[in-house]
Amino acid sequence: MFGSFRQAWDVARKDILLFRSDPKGVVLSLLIPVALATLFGFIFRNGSREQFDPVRTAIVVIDNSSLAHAVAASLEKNQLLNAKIMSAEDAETALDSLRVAVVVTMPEGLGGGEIAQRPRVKHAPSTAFEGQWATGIVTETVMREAGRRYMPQIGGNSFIESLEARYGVEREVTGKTDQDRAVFGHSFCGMSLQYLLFLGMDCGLVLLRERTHGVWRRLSSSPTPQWAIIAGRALATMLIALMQISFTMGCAWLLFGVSVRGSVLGFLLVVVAISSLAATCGLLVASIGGTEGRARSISILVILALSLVGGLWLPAFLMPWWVRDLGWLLPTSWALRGLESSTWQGASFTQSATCAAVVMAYSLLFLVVATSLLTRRSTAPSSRGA
Amino acid sequence: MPDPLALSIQDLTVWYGECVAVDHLCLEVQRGEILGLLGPNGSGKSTTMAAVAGQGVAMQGTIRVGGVSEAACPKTYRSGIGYVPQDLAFYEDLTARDNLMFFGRLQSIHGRELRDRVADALDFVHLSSQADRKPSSFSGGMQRRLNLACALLHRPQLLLLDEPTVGLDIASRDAIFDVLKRLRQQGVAMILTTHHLDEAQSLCDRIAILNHGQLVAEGTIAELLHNVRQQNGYWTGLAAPTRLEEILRLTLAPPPAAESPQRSNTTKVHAEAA
Repeated sequence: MFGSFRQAWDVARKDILLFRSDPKGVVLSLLIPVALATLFGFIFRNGSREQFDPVRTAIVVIDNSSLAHAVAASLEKNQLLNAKIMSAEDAETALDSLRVAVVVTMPEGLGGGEIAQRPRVKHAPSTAFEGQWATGIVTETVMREAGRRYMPQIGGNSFIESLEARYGVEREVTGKTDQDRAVFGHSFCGMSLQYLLFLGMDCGLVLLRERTHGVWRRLSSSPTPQWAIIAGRALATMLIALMQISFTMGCAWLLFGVSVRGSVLGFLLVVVAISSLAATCGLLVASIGGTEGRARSISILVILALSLVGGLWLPAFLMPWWVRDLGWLLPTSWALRGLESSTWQGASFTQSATCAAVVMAYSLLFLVVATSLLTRRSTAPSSRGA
Repeated sequence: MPDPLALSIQDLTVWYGECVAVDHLCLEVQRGEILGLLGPNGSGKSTTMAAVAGQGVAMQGTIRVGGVSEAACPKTYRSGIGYVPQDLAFYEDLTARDNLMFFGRLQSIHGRELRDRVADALDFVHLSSQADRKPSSFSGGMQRRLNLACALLHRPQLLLLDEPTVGLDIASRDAIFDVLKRLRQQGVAMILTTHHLDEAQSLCDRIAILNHGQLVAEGTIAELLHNVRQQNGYWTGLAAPTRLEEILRLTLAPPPAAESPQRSNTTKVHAEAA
């Protein structure tokens, strides 16, 4: 038995030697996830900041009442909007050319004409998020200004101010974070994971290719048991993945201050679990069988779906709730949660260890399925005498 | 006292799904003997090799290497075999030495012994000076010799050679032959499949001819000649098939009942002329 473990290690050592035999390839494989994560980080920096970029807004004031002008002036001052008063034609042109995301119109009758009119918020289909945001701000502003004017009997302006002082909402963010670390933390965790899944896929495809060639026939006729050969391959992939994720998270720390703010032991557990997941995913790819092209296509589809639904690309808050709920069933979600919780979210050991345990459980399941498929022999009668 | 038989195959039947690829095959190979396994494509040569090499084919029957079956002692059984697949079975991105070190380790050879055996194997196939180069830069002949060397590290008693000279020029082929002859002198038994009949004729001590998974003829070339002449009515020495190619053609020919009248006439004319 010990001899077989040693042979598994020999197979792993050979694979690592093969990986090292292409130094440029090694450098690229280390740098690409860092470059991808940095790019994603810069792209989503705005989306995850505590203060979003103000929504570019055009204000069209048709109503000539003091309320309409007060609302417009208040909206112009609002720091959540980048609002300018324009004519109706200019506002339409700006919206069509996407120079503004939203047009807010104060229609005739807003200030209490014969037919009461509501303020209107108009936006393109692609700026629905900004549209909702602006709707909330406009509603709040109109209510406040109307209250000041139309409820003098209960204190008017001072009443509104007392309401704001008493019921103004306070926001709290779970965990320890600052926003730059959060956004780069997410992008580095997500991109590392996705890259590791592709690394696993590549290793699986190499194994699949090898199984159709003479090398596999030579390996399978050697005294080394097949499980040791498969375990060796998985071990090599795991070690390469471990090196890769360590390098990527090291860069995240050096470049963007994404450090291990939670339990170090929890982080190590998560990293080992993720590396195992990459390795066993590779074995699963190899066990799909069929042609290399077929296995590659299926794997790419699965990895992209797991990455998207698992939240590796986009922060979870941008996802619909059914996707977030589905994420609980995916190993990628747990892996991401584990990595994020142990790094920039600064969560406890228990939280990281729980995620690591779930990821390990998935890895074990993949290992069992893949190994049984890879070592499965024909069921016809077989004996080689005694 | 070691078993004089390097390989003994008794009543071997191999299936691929519902298809019988090898049908009740019996074969023996003595130590230091080269057996040529011939037959048309799909005759069961490679399947027989795969079964002997223990590659997990569905089979029934008994295969013993050096008197040991895989069921009795898998490690000893497999250690007795050196397998040289038809395609180049090594890693092009590792040096020749690293390749040999890896395949040696899989045979549980380690340390100084492994280094010595790697050096010996490289020397044996005349690749010592190329040890630290990657095989991707080798010529076809050098790659074939490395392919062979990878199967020699553990000093097997039986070497399975699946078309070891395919695609080589005459000089490179002769270099491989030279290696095989030296191995024979050392007592290594070999099974060689090839489509080059001149190769089999010059190298093999005995020939086994397979067709549709069945052994249709077996013996030395002289014995096969004798049988073919008897069965086809040739008179010794006159217009008789003297080449393996002729033996193979006549052995694999359909039985007379299935032959067309023209073919029968041709054979008869031949016989009459003789």
